[in-house]
Amino acid sequence: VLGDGAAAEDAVHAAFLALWERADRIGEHGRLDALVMTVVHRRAVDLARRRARSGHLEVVPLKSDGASQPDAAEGIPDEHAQEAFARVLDDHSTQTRLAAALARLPEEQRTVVELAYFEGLTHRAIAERLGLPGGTVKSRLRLGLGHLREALPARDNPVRGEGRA
Amino acid sequence: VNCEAVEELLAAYALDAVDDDERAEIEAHLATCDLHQEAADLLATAAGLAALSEEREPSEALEARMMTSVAEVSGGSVAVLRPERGRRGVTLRWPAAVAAAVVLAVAGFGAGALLTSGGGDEAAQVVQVVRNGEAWMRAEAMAGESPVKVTLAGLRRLPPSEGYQVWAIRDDSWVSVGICNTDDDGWWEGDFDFALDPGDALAVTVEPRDGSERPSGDTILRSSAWERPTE
Repeated sequence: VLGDGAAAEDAVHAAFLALWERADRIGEHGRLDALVMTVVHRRAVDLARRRARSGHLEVVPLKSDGASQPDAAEGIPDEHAQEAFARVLDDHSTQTRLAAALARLPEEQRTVVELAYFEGLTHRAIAERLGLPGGTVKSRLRLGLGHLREALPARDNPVRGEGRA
Repeated sequence: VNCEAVEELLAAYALDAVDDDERAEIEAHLATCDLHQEAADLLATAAGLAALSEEREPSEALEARMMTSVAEVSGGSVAVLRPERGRRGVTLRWPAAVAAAVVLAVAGFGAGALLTSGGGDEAAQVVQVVRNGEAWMRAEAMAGESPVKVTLAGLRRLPPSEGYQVWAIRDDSWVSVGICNTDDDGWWEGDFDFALDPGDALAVTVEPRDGSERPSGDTILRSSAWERPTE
């Protein structure tokens, strides 16, 4: 997302502090590794977008209070998500299953998922970069992530395989 | 926003591909909507993608930064037991390093925090960070083993007749760990031949150059004692 180690460490640092300060939001039955990675990703995306904004003369203004750090609780998934981490993610097979599923995705879906998650672009930025209508990008994201969800353990899986086109 | 609009954006939300305003609207809506379960599953799927990220070994400076920050927001001191694999010299890579390190950050919380791997195979690398304003000390050791690596920072260089004496507070007794003086930058780093116990609190006082048997000068830094949590 950030493309350099020092910035990534800033994101990790910010994420850990947020978790420390809001430890009361950490449930007993979740997956700590998934929780951490979610918060780290969110902080990384925030940093990347802030950097992009400052590099482009404030295309999008920062929050009115000028806060450089988000509220500690921001980006910490709620109890439903934390329970889903434990339900959906498997210690041993998650990486293999997801890697295979990502490789199997139609290229148009894989591209938008990768631009979103690994490059930290918003759906609007993806649409702009690829020259696609916004609705198409949202549909492809939904289809792509839905297929990835299908590849993970199906315990109580409420996500249907067919997203809306 | 209505359910249909939120559902359309749910995958983008899970992948952090929405802007701040959209995220706020979606989260407000999910709090009152059955879509929260689907959102949770998609968030979990996205979290799984992290395992596909490029691995990178964290710098040693990151740990020091995080421990210092945690000590700062926690009112002064933290101490850590970390799993055996986290011993220095063993390569820790993302995300394993993240998982290990966050254990340090979240497993213990409150006064006199002791943080453990939570596993049962924790060995016992102890890291204490104590901060008081600009003054700062970091001590690291394998529990019960010499030496203890100590870093002092933000402490003015004392005249030659004085030194900073580091103490371990054990069962209410102050035991000398060693004595040193900082450089012109207020910094000292070195090893003391001392076996730090997991339950030791640490303190720094100003003493005569050769050290004292009992603390007699100003206490510059002092951590709180901490205890192994009961199972």
